[in-house]
Amino acid sequence: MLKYIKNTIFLIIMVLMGFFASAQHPFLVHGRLSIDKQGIVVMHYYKHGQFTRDTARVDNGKFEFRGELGDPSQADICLNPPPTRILGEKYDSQPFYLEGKVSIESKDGIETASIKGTQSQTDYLSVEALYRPLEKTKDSLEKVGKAYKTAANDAGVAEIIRELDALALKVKGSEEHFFKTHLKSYVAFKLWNKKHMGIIDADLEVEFRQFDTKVQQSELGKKIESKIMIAKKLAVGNTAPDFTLRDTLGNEVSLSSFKGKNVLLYFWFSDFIYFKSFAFSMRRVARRLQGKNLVMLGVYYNAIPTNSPSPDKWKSVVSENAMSWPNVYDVGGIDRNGAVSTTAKAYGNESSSVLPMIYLVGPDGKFLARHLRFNDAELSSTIENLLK
Amino acid sequence: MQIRTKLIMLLPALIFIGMGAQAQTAYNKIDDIDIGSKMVNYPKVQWLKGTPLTTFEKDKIYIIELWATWCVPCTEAMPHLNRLYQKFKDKGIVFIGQNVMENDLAKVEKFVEQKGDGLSYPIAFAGPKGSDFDKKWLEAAGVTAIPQTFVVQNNVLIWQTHPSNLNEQVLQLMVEGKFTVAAARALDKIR
Repeated sequence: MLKYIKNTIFLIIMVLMGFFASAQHPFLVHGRLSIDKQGIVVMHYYKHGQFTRDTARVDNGKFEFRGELGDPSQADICLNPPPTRILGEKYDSQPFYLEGKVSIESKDGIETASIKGTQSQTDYLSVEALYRPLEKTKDSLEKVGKAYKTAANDAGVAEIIRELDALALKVKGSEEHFFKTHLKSYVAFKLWNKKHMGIIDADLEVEFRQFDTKVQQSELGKKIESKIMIAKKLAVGNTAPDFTLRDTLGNEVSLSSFKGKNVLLYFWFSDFIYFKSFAFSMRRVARRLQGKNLVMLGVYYNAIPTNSPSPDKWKSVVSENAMSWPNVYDVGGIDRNGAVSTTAKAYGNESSSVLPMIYLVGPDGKFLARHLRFNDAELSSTIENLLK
Repeated sequence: MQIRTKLIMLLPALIFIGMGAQAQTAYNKIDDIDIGSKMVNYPKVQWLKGTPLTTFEKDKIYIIELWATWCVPCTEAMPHLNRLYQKFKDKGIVFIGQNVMENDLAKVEKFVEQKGDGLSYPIAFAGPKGSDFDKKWLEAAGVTAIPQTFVVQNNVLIWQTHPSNLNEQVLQLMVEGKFTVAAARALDKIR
């Protein structure tokens, strides 16, 4: 009887593990360079989002890589690289898109090799071809602009700025056309994602759902989908998720305790280049909206996981920057893998890259605004006009 | 010493102990410059043109325009500012073109020289990061982008805005002592 129960439990565990394990897709890279090539090839790629480095021996120009991937990945392969590569130096290498079966054929080395793979490789080459002439135009415009600046030719500089703006619009148009004509392409989806890094709002769902189901179900697709779901939960008009955290005096403070007042709820950290400007902006809001039915509530994160400051360091940051309003600390809320605490998960605070994040919550506990910008010179007016 | 005197002397200690027991977080005081701030002294800068300013006078209005030779919208605003200067310099408004965020003094001098009468109001050079103006004004006012205009009247900062928001009607309001930010905004909507 015991053995039967044990086996059942074991089976259940295996099924659950299979259920939660990331999809693994095998790949095979087959290389044939000129017969005199010997040594090693090093391949860099991303496996389940982690930077990975594989090495294979080259015998008379022949080499092979076998492995498994989650999503297809941009990759780079290099013949006999030095221990440390220097940016800008030329090596015998080539970038490509790693997925399934890839063949690398050359009458010489890697740089001149013809790389054939799946549709992802074809799409990747299309994207490169799309950007190359646009990059060239941008570079030459910037060169001319620099010359105009040196010659103090203001009119010339202004014209270059206008042309660069027009070029940026052209790039945007080309990108959008590429997405619309490549809805089954993971490469196109990756490019689309790049344009929306950090701020994922519910209104992106329409564009997201236009991509093929297979793409939506990729690892990246699932990540975007969950971000969209969180954004929907945090939409204007919805109730702000409650939380209870400790303030600088060690007292427990709940968001819901401020019902009846508008709350400028912001999630922040201090290790970023514009921190002083951010602190200034918050002080200015406090100053200008003094006397209004508004409370400011800062939620601090030690968001750079490699930092191990003393647990009270945040209190000095708060006092040194004269943030003399309620501040609480979501201890250990974010780590290297993302949102850890209930609060961080509820608000989609997955890393420092999305902070600071500023919301305005009304006296009824419902969101009045999201994505308020600390570098908005008129932030105080923006907030004042929204207060209930 | 009398008992009463001893008790009176003990009083401050009791007050301090009371405060300590509350364990208040002591917040630093930071003197940000903002609308409503008291403005007394002008930072130490190098004057390239016009009468140097050291202290703000109560009966004058000061329009301080931040600019740099590399800032295209700043230099584009100069003809407009120059026209306003011509009209209002005898009505109690002092215009200052304060150069900021650049290192090359010679470049700034050359620029001013080339402008000639197109730039006839006082011009000053602040210097690069770490200068007196940088610390006392740019940092204190949270200036990260230019152009920006500051208006001081009766030793108070009354406005912080973009040069394009300055016009004859707004300046006239200042001269008449009727300036408010709301009134300036209302004028902007009408135009």
